[in-house]
Amino acid sequence: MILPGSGSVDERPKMAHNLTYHSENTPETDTVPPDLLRVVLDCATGFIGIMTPDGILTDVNGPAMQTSGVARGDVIGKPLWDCDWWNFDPEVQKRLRAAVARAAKGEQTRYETEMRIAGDKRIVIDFLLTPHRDPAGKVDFLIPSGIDLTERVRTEKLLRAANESLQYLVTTSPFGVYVVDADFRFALVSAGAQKAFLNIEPLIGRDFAEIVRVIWPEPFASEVIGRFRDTLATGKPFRAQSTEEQRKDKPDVESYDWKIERAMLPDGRQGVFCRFHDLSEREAHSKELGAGEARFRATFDNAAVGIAHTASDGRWTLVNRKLCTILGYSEAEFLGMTVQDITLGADFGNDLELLDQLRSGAIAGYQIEKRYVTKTGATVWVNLSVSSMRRSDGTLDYCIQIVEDISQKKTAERQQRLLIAEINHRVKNILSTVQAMASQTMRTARNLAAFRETFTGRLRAISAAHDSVFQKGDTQADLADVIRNQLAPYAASGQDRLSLAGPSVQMNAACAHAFGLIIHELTTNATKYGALATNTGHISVIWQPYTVEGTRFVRLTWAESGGPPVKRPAKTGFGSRLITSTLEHSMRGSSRLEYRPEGLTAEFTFEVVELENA
Amino acid sequence: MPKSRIMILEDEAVIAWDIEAELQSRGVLVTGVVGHIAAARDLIKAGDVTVAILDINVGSENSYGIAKLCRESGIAVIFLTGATGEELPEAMIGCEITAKPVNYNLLMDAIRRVER
Repeated sequence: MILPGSGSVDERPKMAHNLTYHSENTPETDTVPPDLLRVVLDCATGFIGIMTPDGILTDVNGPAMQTSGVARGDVIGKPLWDCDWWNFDPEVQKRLRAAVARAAKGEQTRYETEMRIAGDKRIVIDFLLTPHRDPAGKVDFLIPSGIDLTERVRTEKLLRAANESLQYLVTTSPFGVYVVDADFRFALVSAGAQKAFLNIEPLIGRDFAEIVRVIWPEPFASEVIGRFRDTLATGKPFRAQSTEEQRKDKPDVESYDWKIERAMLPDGRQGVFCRFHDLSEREAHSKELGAGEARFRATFDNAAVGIAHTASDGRWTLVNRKLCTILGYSEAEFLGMTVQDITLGADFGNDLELLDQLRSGAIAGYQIEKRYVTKTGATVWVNLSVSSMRRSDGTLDYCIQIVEDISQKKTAERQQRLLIAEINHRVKNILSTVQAMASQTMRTARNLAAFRETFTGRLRAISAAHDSVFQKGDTQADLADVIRNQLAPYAASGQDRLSLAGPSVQMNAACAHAFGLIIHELTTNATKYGALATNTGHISVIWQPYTVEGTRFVRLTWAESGGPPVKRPAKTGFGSRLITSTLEHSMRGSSRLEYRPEGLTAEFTFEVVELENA
Repeated sequence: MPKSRIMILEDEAVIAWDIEAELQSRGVLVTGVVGHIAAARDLIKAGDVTVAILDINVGSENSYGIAKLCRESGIAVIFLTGATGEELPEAMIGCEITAKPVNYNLLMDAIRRVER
């Protein structure tokens, strides 16, 4: 039976044969109207033809000609392999001839091959060559057919490429990604995920649940498996944050953020994608950082010196407790101020100039003594060390200030300077006194021996007056001590030679000095002519302080008794002149000397200055 | 021979006398020896002074006020001080200074200088 070909349905000539598909069991197919089948074949997407057992094409359907742009006359009556469809490649032709030869012997052949279509394009077809046998079993004609595979092949290629891309993307990813397939087996594992499954070999293709139970303890392992199964079954994503868990297969505690989602895998079935982020390292790192920060903070806050960070414009950005103590501002108050805000005006320019040099990079740091003004307005001397912290481009990032309160040191220094000046002054004054005493003594001395005796006595008096001032450790003297020190070589109190009565009176060095010389002159006189010239004489000193217009005075009576009878001296000697003029001249006082026969009585008044003037 | 009439302001009596005695022995006329500020003021007012020898520290005060009064009254001032390198207040710059203990030759030179 031959299928008569035609260019179009309309041009179709009358059928020469009935088109019949022989099947012993389906005789009813013989009844299919030949015209209808022809129409069906011409409307099919595939290519169908009929040819003799030796390969001569006797008919072909419409699509085979339309797709290829050939006319009936180009192909009918020609061997199939010589048609335009194949004659672009001898190999293709050769393969086709071989297929025809096999078909002629009754063998069906199917293969994929290239075929030429209109415009000299190539397509890939699924080629099938089927022999037809007559009722006697002899091959009476061959049916070549083909289906265009181009689209499928291209789709397959794309699919393969997509699959490869997925594989590539997942496996080379530095992030933690792995894929579990529909059979709950590991399908893909990223490079970044390898660390989590380090001891599991091999991993791909292994049962997910089995591996999870190896690396995680219960109940966590079962929970994870349950989550994966749930997402695989329902498509509901799941996300867990900061899961911290002890590993079962190693001694580490690991913590992860992880997320699972369902997605179609290249095998066309659903799988579960898991993406996870290892927090363990970050947490260990941040714990270390935290400990470092805590140690720094503790050192910073417990430092015995003030420490601060300041920005390049002088703003305080970080201050420690000690600095708050030194300057009286709270941390919050500091953060709203600049270094300049609390620098004493006089030190402002110098400090600013140094800061400019620091900013320009001319200097790396500096150390100065400067003054800050505290919250209460007091001035504090500090020793300030500033070092600069720079950015990678060399510009000033911030400064570290080490602030040491040196107010006490400064006060001590000032006191020391004052003290040295005072000592110098006092020494010069004493030397002046000694000089004056020497020349005065010289004027009145009868001879050198007398000079020596008198002058040495007076030097001792000056020395004793000094003892009174300095023996207590401060620069004040007690009036009674001044008297005792002058009389000590001659009469100790308690030996019935000397009695002292009066309240405690403190006097400064100048007072004690002048008063000491007065007592010395009285004592010298007493040893020569008065109470101390005998073994039975007695000296009584009584005093009483009083105040006039805020100034303190003392009234003092020196009374001698038991000495030889006293006569008023014929002329005023140096001693009495010194007494009178010292009291009147230096001590804003007065004196009255009364030469009674039973003994000298002296009454003095004088000003007492208690404290050293600063 | 200096024709000055000298006032001595020195709070320590012995030193004051000594200066007085030394100056007198050199033929200088000492018209007053005082030991405190108030007495010096009275003496200046009395008007019989041409040169004032002033100890800077007098009791618990200093003598700059008196020095100012002296200069206003046309009295030359010679300061005495035990302190070395002491800086005079600005108003007193140009005054003579003689150190204590006193070298009397230097003090006489100073008197002669201020007499001119």
